[in-house]
Amino acid sequence: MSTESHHSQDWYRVATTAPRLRQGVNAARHIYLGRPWYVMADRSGTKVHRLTPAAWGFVGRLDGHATVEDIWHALSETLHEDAPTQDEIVHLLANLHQTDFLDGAATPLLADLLERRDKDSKQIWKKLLMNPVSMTVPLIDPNRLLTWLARATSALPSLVWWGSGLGLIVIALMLLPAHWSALKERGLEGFLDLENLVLIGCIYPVVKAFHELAHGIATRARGGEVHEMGLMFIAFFPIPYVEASASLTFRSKWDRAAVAGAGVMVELCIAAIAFLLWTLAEPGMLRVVLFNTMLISGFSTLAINGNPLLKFDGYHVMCDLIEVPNLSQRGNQWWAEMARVHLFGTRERARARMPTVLWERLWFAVYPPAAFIYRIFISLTIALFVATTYRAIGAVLAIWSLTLSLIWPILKTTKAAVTDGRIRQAGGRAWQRAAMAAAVLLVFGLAVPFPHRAVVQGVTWLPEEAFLRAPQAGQIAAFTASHGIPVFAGDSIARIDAPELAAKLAISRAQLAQRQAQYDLAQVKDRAKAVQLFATIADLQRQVADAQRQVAELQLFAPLTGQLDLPGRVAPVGQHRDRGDVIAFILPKAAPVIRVAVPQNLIELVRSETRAVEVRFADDIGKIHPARVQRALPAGDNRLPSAVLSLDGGGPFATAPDAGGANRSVTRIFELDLSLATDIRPAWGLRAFVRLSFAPKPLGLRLARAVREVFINAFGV
Amino acid sequence: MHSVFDARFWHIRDRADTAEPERRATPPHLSDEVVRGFLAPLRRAVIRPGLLRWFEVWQIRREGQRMEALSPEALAAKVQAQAPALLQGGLTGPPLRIAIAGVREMTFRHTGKRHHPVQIMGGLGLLRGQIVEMATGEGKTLTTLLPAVVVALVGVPVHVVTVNAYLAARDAETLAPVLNAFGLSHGLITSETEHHLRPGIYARDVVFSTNSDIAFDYLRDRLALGRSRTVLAQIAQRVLSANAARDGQRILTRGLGFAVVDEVDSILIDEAQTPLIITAQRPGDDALTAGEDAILALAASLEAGRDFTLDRKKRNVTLLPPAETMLAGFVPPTAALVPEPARREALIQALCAIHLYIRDEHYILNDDGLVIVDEFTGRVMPDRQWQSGLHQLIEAKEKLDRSGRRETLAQITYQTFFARYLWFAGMTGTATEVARELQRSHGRAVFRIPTNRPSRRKIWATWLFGSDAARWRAVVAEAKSVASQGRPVLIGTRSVAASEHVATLLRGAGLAPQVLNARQDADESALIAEAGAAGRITVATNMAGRGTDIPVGPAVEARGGLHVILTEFHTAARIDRQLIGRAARQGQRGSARAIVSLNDPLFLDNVPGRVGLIRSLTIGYRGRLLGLLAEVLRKRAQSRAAAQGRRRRRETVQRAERQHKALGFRPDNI
Repeated sequence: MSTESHHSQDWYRVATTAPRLRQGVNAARHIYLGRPWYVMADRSGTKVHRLTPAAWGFVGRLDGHATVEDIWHALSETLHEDAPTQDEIVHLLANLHQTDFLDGAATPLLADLLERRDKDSKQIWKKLLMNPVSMTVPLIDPNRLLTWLARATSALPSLVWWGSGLGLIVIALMLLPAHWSALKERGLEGFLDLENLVLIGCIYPVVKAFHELAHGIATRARGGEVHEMGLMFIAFFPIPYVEASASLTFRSKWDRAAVAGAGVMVELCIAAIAFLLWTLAEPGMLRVVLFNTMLISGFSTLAINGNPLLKFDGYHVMCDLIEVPNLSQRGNQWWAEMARVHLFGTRERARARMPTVLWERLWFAVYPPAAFIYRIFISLTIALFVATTYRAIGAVLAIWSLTLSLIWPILKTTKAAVTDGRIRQAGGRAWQRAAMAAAVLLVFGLAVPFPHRAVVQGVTWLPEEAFLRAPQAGQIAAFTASHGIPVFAGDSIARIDAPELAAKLAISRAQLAQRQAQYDLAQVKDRAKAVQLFATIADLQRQVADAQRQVAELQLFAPLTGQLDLPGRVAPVGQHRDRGDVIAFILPKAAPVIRVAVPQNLIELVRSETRAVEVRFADDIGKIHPARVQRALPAGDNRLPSAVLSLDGGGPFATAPDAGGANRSVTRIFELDLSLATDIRPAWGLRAFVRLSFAPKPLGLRLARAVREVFINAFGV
Repeated sequence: MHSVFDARFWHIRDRADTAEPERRATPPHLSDEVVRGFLAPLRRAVIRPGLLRWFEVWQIRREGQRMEALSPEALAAKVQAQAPALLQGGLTGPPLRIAIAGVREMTFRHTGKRHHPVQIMGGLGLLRGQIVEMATGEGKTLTTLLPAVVVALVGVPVHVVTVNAYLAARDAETLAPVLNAFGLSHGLITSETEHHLRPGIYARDVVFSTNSDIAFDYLRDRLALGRSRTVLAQIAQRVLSANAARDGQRILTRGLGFAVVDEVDSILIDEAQTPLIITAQRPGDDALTAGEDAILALAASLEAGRDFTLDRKKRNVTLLPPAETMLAGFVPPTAALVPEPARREALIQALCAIHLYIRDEHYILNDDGLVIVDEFTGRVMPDRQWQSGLHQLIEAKEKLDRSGRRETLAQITYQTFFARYLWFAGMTGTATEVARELQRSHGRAVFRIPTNRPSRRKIWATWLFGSDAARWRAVVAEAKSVASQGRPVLIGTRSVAASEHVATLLRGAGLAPQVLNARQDADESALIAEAGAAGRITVATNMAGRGTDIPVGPAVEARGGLHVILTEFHTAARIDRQLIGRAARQGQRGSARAIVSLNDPLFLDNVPGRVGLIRSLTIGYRGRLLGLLAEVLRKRAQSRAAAQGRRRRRETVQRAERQHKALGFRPDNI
């Protein structure tokens, strides 16, 4: 409120008037961070104004007899150096007038009254137009109900209530891990389906009614009056509300915090109860209702209503407890002042600046940016979640919330900066400095390239030929090579003994001989039968040939030149192998290949902009091995190259359990083969952490890319 | 804004709840303003008369021919007989044509001059509340007569507003015979008019006055009436009070009916940057005087650059840390300077008084003490005072007796004031430059009327000099050579000091110039009457620019007519044009030349970079430079100054509106 000028141009407008405070307006002395403040409120407590002692020294004397000029002179004499300036008084009066705390002492002019009425009714319409999705309809005066309820609840001291509420929540939290997997399995599937929305529509007002009643009772129990209860239409959806701002004048910060916190507490208790009942309930309608209740009250409290980063109950609780009232607004003012002083270089004097203490500055520094980011985050999250079910509505919501939380504040800030008198007074220099800062920011955001990296996982990979698999089920009869020795392509490695295969061959041969004999006989006796037999003979000949080939396969030869690698290091002679089981590997002489699974969103970058590749292996994480891309598969697939990369195997990719084996990824992946530049031979199947360095790129472009990706994923735009 | 179809301009929807006619000044909605802002570039800011208008003029002239035979009494009766029809049907149709033709005929009988077609056109435009642009010297005074008579006949109070008392008196004198002939009373109000006489004068049909007199009287009325200005309160008082007359309440004006504003650009643009303020004087006391002296002494001990920085363009001082330290140690001799902001503000004011307000430029000293000089008109403003103690500090600087501090009682901007008339019209010779702004702030386009006879004015090429001395030498030489041809010369200067400097130089060159500035205010009309004589050299501040008609005899005209020398460009091109417009009036011959210097404040304040560039390119050459450069500099500097002025005016209005709204708990808020 402090302003530079001691004399005000508008002093004449107020000097001779003798306004008085409107009837029913009274003030209470509060202590914030050890300093006294006077909090003025009208009778219903809907309008509240916080004054410094000096300002109260002025306002307190507005009795309808003393003129503003007289009071100011009297104050100047008592306060000496710190006397308020005329400008400050004019500001203060304007503020009081705007909150309707002032009465002109004499009867007002009819025209002015009418004008004011018109303005008020216009304001209502304006409010509705500016924010068509939120309006309030007061319905009843709940004072008697609340008085009764407050008396009933006061049978137990309030600490007991709070304690039992907390206990309930703690119990629920303790049971939560046990049911976490069940909850996860249930997921948010179908949460936004129409029938579920109807259900939510029935549950939410009830939860909210309890929430609001809690505010009301807490206020009433501490002596505040509550005279208004009604429906608030948020997005045309009715939600009950209780006008409990009388609590703002409570002296104790704990009382104020308790009123704001009561609703949060009740809602969390409802969530806890719903959860406990849900664990007990049989599948059916009741369970669905409980699940939804738990979700709505739990989520809405943690993410929105109880979260101090949004200006709802949680915020008020926090403001009261840290004794920094109006944190959000003053925090923004503080940032504006910082920008003015340090960015624009307006030489503002200490007296004209916001009076703050260190504790407040800490909060001011942290809170507004955090709240700003969180607001964008939460509204986008909701929009994206809605978009999973209703794409169009989600898109509209996203645009709306981005406009509201990002574009609108930017416009407002710009306007404030352009119209600010202090900045204008600083003249061209201020704008030069701002332009310089903007230029630096732009250069950093759009021109200065920053290293751009991504870390993906892969495995050391062997070619398919390197796997020595059992061609047929059987017992390993002999092993001619041993672990670690070099082998050449075509070397005999092992022999598998498959007695049933030999037996099958013998049977086939015998059958063939029999048929052959029969055929020979039929040639003489029954020509017609001979023709039939001839067909079966051909069949049997094929079977015999087949069986012979399979038997021949039982002798295993090295498919390529390399080093023999036995999984158990000793020859598995005498062990049984099913068909297709791996018996040994031939580690080729060629350099090892690392096969990397790249998620879809990175593949374009990887293909076009990869500058350097570095690999660390899981067995020696400290060591970096340079590598290069050998091959990138052009098409995506959802088969993981190895189970090592699945979530269960410790990798980043979730696998779909339903079909296609364990290595089937939920999302599409692209494979990339890397070859190492150094001559090391990592164990195969080892997890490799691969750092891909892309062409350096400005942060702004990367951010734009990320945002675009989110929107493409969610809305296909 | 009135409807196009209803020519009863006094029938308005938003009448204020006052007994006397007045429009309720409702600030436009933000949305309206935004839309208007978007539409403005699409609409023409300047319109020219169409065929219909010319037809109308032709009809009126034909009507006039029928009246030529009527006797004066019959003529007056015929015009007066139109009043009921005009009152009922509005200012349109045959009754209007008859009335206008009658006025024109009557003017001929009394002054020997009939309105030219362009004057009729202008008169009709004024009647309809347009801003009429007529070239200088086209006889705007006579044009005023047409709407004044017609509107007065209907019974609406008519104010003919001019920028100074001299012009008001001249207009009243010129038009009196015609008004009298129609049985219309008239009166003249200037700053010299006694207060007790004013109510009687305001009660007359047509009042000639200056903008500040009328606006001040209006403010005084508002203050006197206070909260009892409403219709109901007034009726109750007039009927019930013992003093059942208007004068019982010391009311001066008869409401704001119709105004014809001469030199409308000067009033709505130049003078609109600062609100009109009505003040009450509070005598200074010794403690206050001691405080002023002490703070002035402190300010005098400070050094520019070390302790503070000056911004001449914005007239503003910024204190640097050393000054802050000194200020903290300053022991105030008076209680009023004890609060830290008060002390600080006083120091800044004192620094302004010492460094930014210069004698004979911003103010002059005469027998009454310190008098402010209006930068735009060059005229003294004896009733004005700088605010917030600045005036007293300058008096302290000049070691004068302190005048009492004035405290604001009420203030109003001219934009707001004229918007409260039921309807008003404006006239000027130079509206083109500000047409856009007039359209935006007053919602009306400029109606440009062609000249009656083609102009024969010759504009000689501008001369630019690198130093002031060279410029003055050239001015003297040119004045001498032109005067020696037997032509009169008018030299326009921006400040009083400059006018005296050039007069001294002229005398040094053996010439005998006449000086017309804020100090020689009284014999203005005599000086102007002689300024057109052969070989006469007149040095004048800008005051000579507006409305003054310098009569040039036929013999002089034959030698080339009046020659005007501009010694410095003004911040607004309009004002330059006004001064140039003194030459070659009404199709006569005449010429003008601008002789300027790179050191002129207009250039230094607005385009310091370019001036520096020229200086470095010419390596400090002090003589004559390329005249084209001056035009380039002028264009840029004037457009910059104009933009700044526009912004300041908009801020003034917006600020007043905002404060009015914010402090609305005072019911008699003006």
